Amino acid sequence: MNGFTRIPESRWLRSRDLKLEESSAPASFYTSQEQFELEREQVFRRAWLSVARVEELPNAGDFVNLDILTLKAKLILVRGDDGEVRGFHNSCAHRGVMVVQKEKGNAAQFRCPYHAWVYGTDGKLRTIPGADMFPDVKCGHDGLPPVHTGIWNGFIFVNFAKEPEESLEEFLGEAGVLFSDLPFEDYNHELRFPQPLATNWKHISNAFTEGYHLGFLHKNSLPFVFDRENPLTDYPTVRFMGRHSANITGANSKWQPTKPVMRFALETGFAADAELEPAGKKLMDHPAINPDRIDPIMEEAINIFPNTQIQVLRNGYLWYQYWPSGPNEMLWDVRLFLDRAPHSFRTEFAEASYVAASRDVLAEDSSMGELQQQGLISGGLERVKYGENEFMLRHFAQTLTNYIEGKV
Amino acid sequence: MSTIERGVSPSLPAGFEALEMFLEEWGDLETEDERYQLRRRKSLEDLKLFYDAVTPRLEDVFRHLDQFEYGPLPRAEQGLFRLALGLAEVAQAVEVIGHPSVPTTSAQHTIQISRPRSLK
Repeated sequence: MNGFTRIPESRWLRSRDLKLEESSAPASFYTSQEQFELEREQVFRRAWLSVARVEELPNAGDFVNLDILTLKAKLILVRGDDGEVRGFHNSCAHRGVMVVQKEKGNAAQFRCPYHAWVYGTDGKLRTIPGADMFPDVKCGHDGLPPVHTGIWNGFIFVNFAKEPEESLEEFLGEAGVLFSDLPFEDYNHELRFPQPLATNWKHISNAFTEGYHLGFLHKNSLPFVFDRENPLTDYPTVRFMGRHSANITGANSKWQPTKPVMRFALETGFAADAELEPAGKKLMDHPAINPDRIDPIMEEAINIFPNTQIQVLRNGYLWYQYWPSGPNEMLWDVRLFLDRAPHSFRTEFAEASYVAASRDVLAEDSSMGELQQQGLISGGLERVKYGENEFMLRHFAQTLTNYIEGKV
Repeated sequence: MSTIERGVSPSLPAGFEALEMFLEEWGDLETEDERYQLRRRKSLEDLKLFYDAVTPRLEDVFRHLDQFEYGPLPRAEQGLFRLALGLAEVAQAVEVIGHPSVPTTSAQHTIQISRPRSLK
């Protein structure tokens, strides 16, 4: 599929329109250790992966310490004196000790606690006590083992290959160009909901690329989405950009809050209106977003292969990262960025209400992922089915398999 | 940090005495996670009792709090605000989910919510 595919005027898009004919996948796609190892080695160790935002490292010497579960990689991202963000394995060049223990901070240099080898924020060795004991090690040359790092629109990506097959720009392709200047930097109030889950990462990814479940699983928790005229909650706009994609979820124009506490929270005009406030916010109004001007709209989700989804909301964005650590376990890192922090007791209440509502929606999705994995491990179901309306799941399964086989 | 002193029976501002019965459970809770876990431990009937008592007073609560600058509150007002924040959780159970929490989640389910940055 080249270029963009939108829904025809007269009806909803279906798998057959896209020639995505594979209507099922073996249960082992989700449960086998062998599949997980293929994904770890042939996807996560080759692809560019989003791991941080530049706002986390505003100044020279700022660093974050990350645990990349899938690869068991301990990663330091640090902004050097020259302003460049670099990535390193957190592993002393001497005998491998993790040099940096703090989760984040600012440092002029990093000093290994074991034998006091000292590194600059450029990762290069500065001093070694008794340097003549190590005639083959050169300060200013050797250092912390580097990891390839790139920045796209404020998102810091890393690539764990010795030599990446593609630059970050090539990897992101058309999607990278189209969404290159969305103003993510204007949204700086962050709420983070990291969830360790007993499920396969692809179940959670799948849940956010089909609208089919929204009117059932979330009938009560997302009441403003369900629309009788769109009973399977098909996406009004879908775009495919090579291995990446985007999907829009509409909303019900007739919905009004009737429950008193929900209505009270919404009427404060803060956070709780993320999905509901009329257009007028920059991120959602950007010309690259919602090309068909669907109104009302809940969100446009941008899927960056393999494990990132960025959901553009009315007054903020959600950034999901899916990190498998085995076939049956993962971390779902959910980061929500809003345009402002609470500024009154009323808006703090509205934020608490929004957080509670969001958590319950996430809990519905994550619990389905866990129940799904238990059901598959049970061993009776040989193949999972992907409907004519679940074409994005077919596309993702095909893209992942092709990528593993080196075809995309 | 709780500013409610030990050994002093908790009280709410004048006019909200009828809600004082909920202070012992909800008045000390500081985070979303604590309120969520209390909500999960309680029966839907208990949650409805709280909801039915606090919801009709919600506008009164904030009209009272509007008199204070946004920031640390006097003890009685802090208790009142914490009841309102408790209602944000309880209303999810009563108005939306129809159970104390999402019934398909595992018993140990929790989501640790944090606020890593707020730059502006």
